[in-house]
Amino acid sequence: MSTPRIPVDLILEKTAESVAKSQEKVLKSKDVLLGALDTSIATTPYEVVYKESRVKLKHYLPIAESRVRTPLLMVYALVNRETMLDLQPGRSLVQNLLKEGVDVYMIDWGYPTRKDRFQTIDDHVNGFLNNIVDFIRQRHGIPKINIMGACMGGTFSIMYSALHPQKVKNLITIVTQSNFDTDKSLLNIWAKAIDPDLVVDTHGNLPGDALNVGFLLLNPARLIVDKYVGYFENIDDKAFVENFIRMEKWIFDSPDVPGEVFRQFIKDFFQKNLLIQNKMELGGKRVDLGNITMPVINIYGRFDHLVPPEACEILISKIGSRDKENLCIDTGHIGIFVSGKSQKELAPRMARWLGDRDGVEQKYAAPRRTRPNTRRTRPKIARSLSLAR
Amino acid sequence: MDQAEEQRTSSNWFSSWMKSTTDFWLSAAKYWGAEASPGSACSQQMPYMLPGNLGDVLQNISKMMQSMYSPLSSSEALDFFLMAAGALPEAEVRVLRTTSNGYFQFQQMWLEKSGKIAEAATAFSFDGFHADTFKGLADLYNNELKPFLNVPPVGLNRFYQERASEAVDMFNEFQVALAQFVHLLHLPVGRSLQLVQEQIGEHARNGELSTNFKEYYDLWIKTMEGHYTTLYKSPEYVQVLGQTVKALDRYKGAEARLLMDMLQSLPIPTNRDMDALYSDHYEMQKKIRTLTERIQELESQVREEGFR
Repeated sequence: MSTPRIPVDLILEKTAESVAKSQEKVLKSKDVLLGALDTSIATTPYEVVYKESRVKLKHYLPIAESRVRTPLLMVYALVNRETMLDLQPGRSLVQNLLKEGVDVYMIDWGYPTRKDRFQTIDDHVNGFLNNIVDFIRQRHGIPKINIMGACMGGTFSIMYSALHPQKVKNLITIVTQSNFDTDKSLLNIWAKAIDPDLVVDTHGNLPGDALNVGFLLLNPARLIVDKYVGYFENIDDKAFVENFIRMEKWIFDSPDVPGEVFRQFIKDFFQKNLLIQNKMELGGKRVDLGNITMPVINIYGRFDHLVPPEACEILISKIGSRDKENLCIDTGHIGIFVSGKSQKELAPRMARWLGDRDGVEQKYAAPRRTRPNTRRTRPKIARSLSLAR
Repeated sequence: MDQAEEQRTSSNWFSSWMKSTTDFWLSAAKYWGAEASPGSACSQQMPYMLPGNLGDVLQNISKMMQSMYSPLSSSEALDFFLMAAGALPEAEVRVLRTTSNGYFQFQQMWLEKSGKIAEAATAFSFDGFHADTFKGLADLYNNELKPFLNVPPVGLNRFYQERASEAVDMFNEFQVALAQFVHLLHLPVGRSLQLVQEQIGEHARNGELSTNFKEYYDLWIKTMEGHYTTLYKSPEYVQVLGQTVKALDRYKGAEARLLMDMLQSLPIPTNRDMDALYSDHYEMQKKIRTLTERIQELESQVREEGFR
């Protein structure tokens, strides 16, 4: 039996080296952590133009000449905050759209309290969302507006467009689940094991912290261990720390989900998959996807583990529109909003698509075809950010 | 019965009680140890099985009990012990004997019941993950302890007592479910560490040991991620997750009901009070919205008719 050859001297040397490096990092981190850090999120200037209960409508101040006449309403999910779409300067879909000359409105769903536990999906879609759309239409004196829905907000936007097609000029859905019958996402698998009645009857609203725990458990190796090892490795890098803290702020800023919304979402979407079968009912009216006849672009991430392509792409074949397309981008659920690649591609692509259907003269370069990128290398910051979800 | 016979009888029951107790724990330890041993059929079915930790613990406890009891089991020690007892008046000894016999019978019953739990656990197949152990734990609680909490309370405070017992019961059920859930979550960590250790051992044997610790860390993270993915998609995990969430919700509900009882004596509205108010508020808002829309429709109708 041969004796193992262990380079003890090299290992010890390497260990001593890393201990020295770690000590140096810790010393430097003192300057970073105790110094002034800019960790603010959602800094693009806006004004609140409409309020209804906890729900607000933000209107972003234009920063470029208008190139798309029809205003765009962004509808984010009730899970987590809409600040993801305006995370920080340089990583902001809102800012990029403003630069492209799009007039941007965004719904802030606020923080539901126990008082809101009885509010249903119908109250959100035919209530808040419809009132906001009417407000914008009235403000601009136009019959239709553009709507962009992200994640659960996209599902709301699909239902709204099916129920009120006369008010929607163009529909953009981003990482939006419409087909819930898939085992490619752990959320879809787990949601089938949950008893929503018991959860809602016990808690009233679904606590945001419960959602946070659920998201962390999706990938404990990365989200509970490796992410913070990465943080420590870069703790002496001010820019890294600032970006990391911004993302932490967003991730753990999880409002409670109104109880009745959660109950219906789990039952009708995750457990019965009613929407894609045209069997969903809101406010006593059936949501018929065939009523969606406006132009639709359905954007999703190839590496999205929360809302995988299988959960998104089928929508296009079920709606009544003639002008419709799927756009799959090589990124993940959050990477689609914050990755460097998306910063360059997503907003210009959306602006061009809206502009082409707006009937106004285009003042910018002709549309370019987005080629799927098969390279998966990501910059350090983007990697840590996209790991978050 | 003379004194010597009494001593012999007492010595017999004491010895048999100790024997049955240690036998029980030894057999339980062997049972769980066999279940958990790396080479057992059970562990072969279970990719996440760790070397029998629970079995080892039980065997250690049993050995410790044996060591503690062995000096007491010797006839000299017992004679000495019982001689002291013999000094007591006969009536007192009789009372003591009756009590001891009762206790012994209780022990026997308990051991018999516990034995049955082990039988039930053997018959139950969960396709892995130490499930039998947790089933045994759940059965032990449900069959032996829970009935005490379910004894119907009587009298003026019966409902308060019932809710307090319910809260304790739900808390215990949640603890059982949580133990199983946490155990499952721990499996990929242990398994991935084991694999990385094996890898390091292999590298060391081949003289390929990396001087960069980060390489092994990255390997551990990647392996652990893979194990979690496999675990999360398994029906066992989904079932345990559902059970744990359910147990948590049931416990939180019972706790809230207990707290509401306590709050009744204070001038503080409870969630039940507030929910009733919120529900009314919600219904009124809806009604106002509908009526507003109706008024607007009627107003525009009147305006149109006015123009005609």
